[in-house]
Amino acid sequence: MTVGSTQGHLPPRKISRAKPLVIPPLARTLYLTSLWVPLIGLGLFFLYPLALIVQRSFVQRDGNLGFGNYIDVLSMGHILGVVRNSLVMSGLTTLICVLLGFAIAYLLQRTRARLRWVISIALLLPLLAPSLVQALGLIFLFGRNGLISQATGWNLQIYGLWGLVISNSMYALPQAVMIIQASLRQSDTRQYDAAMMLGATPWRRFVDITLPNARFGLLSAAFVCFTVTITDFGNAAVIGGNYRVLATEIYAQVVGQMNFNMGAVIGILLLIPTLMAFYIEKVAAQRHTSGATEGAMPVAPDRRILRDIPLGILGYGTAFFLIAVVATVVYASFVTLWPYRLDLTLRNYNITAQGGYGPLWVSLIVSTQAAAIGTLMLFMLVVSQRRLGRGMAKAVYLLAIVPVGVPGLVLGLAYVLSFNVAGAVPGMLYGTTLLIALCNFYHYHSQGFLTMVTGIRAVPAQLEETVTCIGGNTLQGLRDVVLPVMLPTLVAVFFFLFMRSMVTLSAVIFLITPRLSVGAVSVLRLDQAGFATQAAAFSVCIMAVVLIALGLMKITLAVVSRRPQAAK
Amino acid sequence: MQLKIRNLEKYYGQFQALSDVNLDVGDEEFVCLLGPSGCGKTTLLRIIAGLEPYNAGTLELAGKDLSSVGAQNRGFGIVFQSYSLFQHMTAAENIGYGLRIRKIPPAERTAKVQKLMELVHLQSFSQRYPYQLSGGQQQRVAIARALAVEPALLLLDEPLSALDARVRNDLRLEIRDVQRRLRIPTIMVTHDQEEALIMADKIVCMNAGKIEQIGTPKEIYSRPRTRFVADFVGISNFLTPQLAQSVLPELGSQAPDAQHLLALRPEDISVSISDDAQARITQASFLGNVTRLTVDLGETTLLAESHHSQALQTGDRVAISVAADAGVWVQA
Repeated sequence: MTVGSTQGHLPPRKISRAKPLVIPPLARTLYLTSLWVPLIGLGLFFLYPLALIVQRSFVQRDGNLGFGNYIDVLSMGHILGVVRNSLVMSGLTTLICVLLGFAIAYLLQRTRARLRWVISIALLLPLLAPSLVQALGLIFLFGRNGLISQATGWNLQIYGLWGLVISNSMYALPQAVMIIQASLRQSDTRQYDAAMMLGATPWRRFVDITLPNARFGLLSAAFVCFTVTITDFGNAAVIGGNYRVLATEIYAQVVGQMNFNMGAVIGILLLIPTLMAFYIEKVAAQRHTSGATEGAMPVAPDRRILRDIPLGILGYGTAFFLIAVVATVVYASFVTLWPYRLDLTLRNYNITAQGGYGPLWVSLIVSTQAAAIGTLMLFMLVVSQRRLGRGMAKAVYLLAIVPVGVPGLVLGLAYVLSFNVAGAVPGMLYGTTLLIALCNFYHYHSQGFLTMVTGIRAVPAQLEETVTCIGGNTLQGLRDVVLPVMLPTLVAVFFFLFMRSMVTLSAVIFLITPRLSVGAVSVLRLDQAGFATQAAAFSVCIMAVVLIALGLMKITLAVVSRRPQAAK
Repeated sequence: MQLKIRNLEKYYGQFQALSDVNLDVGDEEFVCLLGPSGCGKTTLLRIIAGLEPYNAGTLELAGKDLSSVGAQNRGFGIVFQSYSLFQHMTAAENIGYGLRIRKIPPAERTAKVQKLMELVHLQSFSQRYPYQLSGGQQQRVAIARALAVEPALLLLDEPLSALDARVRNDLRLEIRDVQRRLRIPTIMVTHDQEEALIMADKIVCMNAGKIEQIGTPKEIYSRPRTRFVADFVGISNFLTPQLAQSVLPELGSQAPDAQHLLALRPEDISVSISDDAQARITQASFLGNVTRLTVDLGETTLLAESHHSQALQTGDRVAISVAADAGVWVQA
């Protein structure tokens, strides 16, 4: 106690409000614009459609509100079977992806196995093409007219559950490996050293350190695998056969029978497992305390024959399979008549059905729009979000990551319900590339947002304050402090949105019109029309565009992150 | 030109970060805000800079109220611990940044940057990028950048804490030298008492959001007013009046009241070997120029210092004595 001091130790009961800092009008306008434009965008192009789909699911055939549609859907004899099918398929896919993903991530991150880069490249392949390309490749190999089926005479029954599980696993595996590898990368070698000094065997160290540290990554990977596969439309349409899942069912209801309200109900049903998975992951994330410490020393990869040989068989086997499937698609695109006349030709690339190459150009335009709009909006959002109070910032953060929990198919359906209306302003957007671009952007909003958040954390706050004190305004602060640091992130987000927009199918399948279609849909249509080799050729074109984009990104990143050279 | 702070209050929610802060900074004065982490010294600096809102009180610069002037228009210079340089600009471009913003013509800018580079001894490094400079050099650039705009007030937020001891020592003297030459009133935040004693004209010693004492380094060290100041700046032994009475009767009798403590610096206590004495050395730490001794007096223990080469060892019986004017009575 400071005796004799006139100051009490309890704060006065009423604290006068802090006088707000003096902010120049320009800064204020900029800040408000960059906060509200992305938020209004989220409201109009994400929350509103989503609210509408919920509302429509309650509009009964007689026009009243009620549970009629739900009762109708649940009383459709086959629907429970379809729900069960979806859960079984996604559950199996998730299990395979997490187990195999962990093995491969471990192989890549913790061993010194040779040619690991081959596996890394192989894992990139499924990300370059629409998901249904895996199914296409599987059919070229194991289908009724598959190379292997023909060569061996086996009837592999690839259409159905197993075909779906395999093609979806190939599609989701790269994402699982990336997430798990990131969680393995965080571990601190000193933890392992300490355990070793205490006498722990390699197996004990694996069980007591590696697994607990990777737990959260495994859970995240499971979440991602589950959500992307339960809603995937492309593979289900191509290789699902008679195995009906929710994704194909919703499409049949809406496009086949024009039953929008029933479609809305199935959309809501699709939302339930994803939101549950989303919730479980969030709860786990809050409890998660990473074992990683600041300045963690990475664990050095080592060699251990008994561990590396089985891991290697899994890893190289998977890589071989991934490469073989995509290579088959590329090969098939040059073949005269699969699998009977295997002489090479370019005829498959002379595509005239389904609008020819038109949809590819539409895809390019859509993807560029989605990337440009998305990058700008996300940048504005993260820049302004930093100035919000903690509560508000948290609310914005949550809103920005909710889209990851909404399946593309549901979002697409919600867009149809919201924007396929006569007259009015929303109706004007329908049938434009802009609407498809917006749909793609909000579909991948969360991933882009999280990347931006990571990027903005690297912006030195004190340098911004220095600029302010020196007399710089907000724009100068953005130009000289924020942009130089954020440029690589902006490039990465731009190309991420571009590449995803090039290949996504599930959201846009509802938004195409007879006059406006995109590349991924063309592949599906060509295949369904029986032009499998032309579908392959079209996929190859999409992969080429995405590969070029990937190359451009690498070059741009190398340019923008190059350190300035000092003059001698 | 004078900064005048009156009755400043700052809350974070219910937590009071600053209470009733009153401070004047005169022309050409170098003021150090000294205190442990969390005492509110950085908050105070940020409020002065205009980077942090406050709840009550007034800030004036040369008679002009600052509450309606944004950080951007205060014309202050600021330097942070983390260097905070533009990584994509050369040293010269960093220093010239404020001039560029003020649209100073290039020729004039170059001349001024040149002069500043000489001032901070970086002439030959002007075309280097921050990552090609050492920590000390980077901080020199940051200081020159803050000085380039001829600030009305220079604010330094622990500018030396990230540097190693040698560089820190050099820069202390250099900053002080530059400040004297340019005659810029300066406020520096530090938790390092040695730094404050070496550099400051005036030390503001802070604890738990309050100013404990303001004074010259000499006053703060030799006439601390509170136990906190006596303890934070240098080392002190504290004796209650009763204890002082019984251990050092000649000093103990001067106690102003029962609430004060006698603060006694270790160097004010002389120790000599005396085999029939009660006191005993329980610990002797060799510190190079001095040996620090813990002396057990039975009722209490005291820290003392010995400059003699006489070999005092743990276990030795010793007698202690203090000068008649040693020690200060401080608020407990």
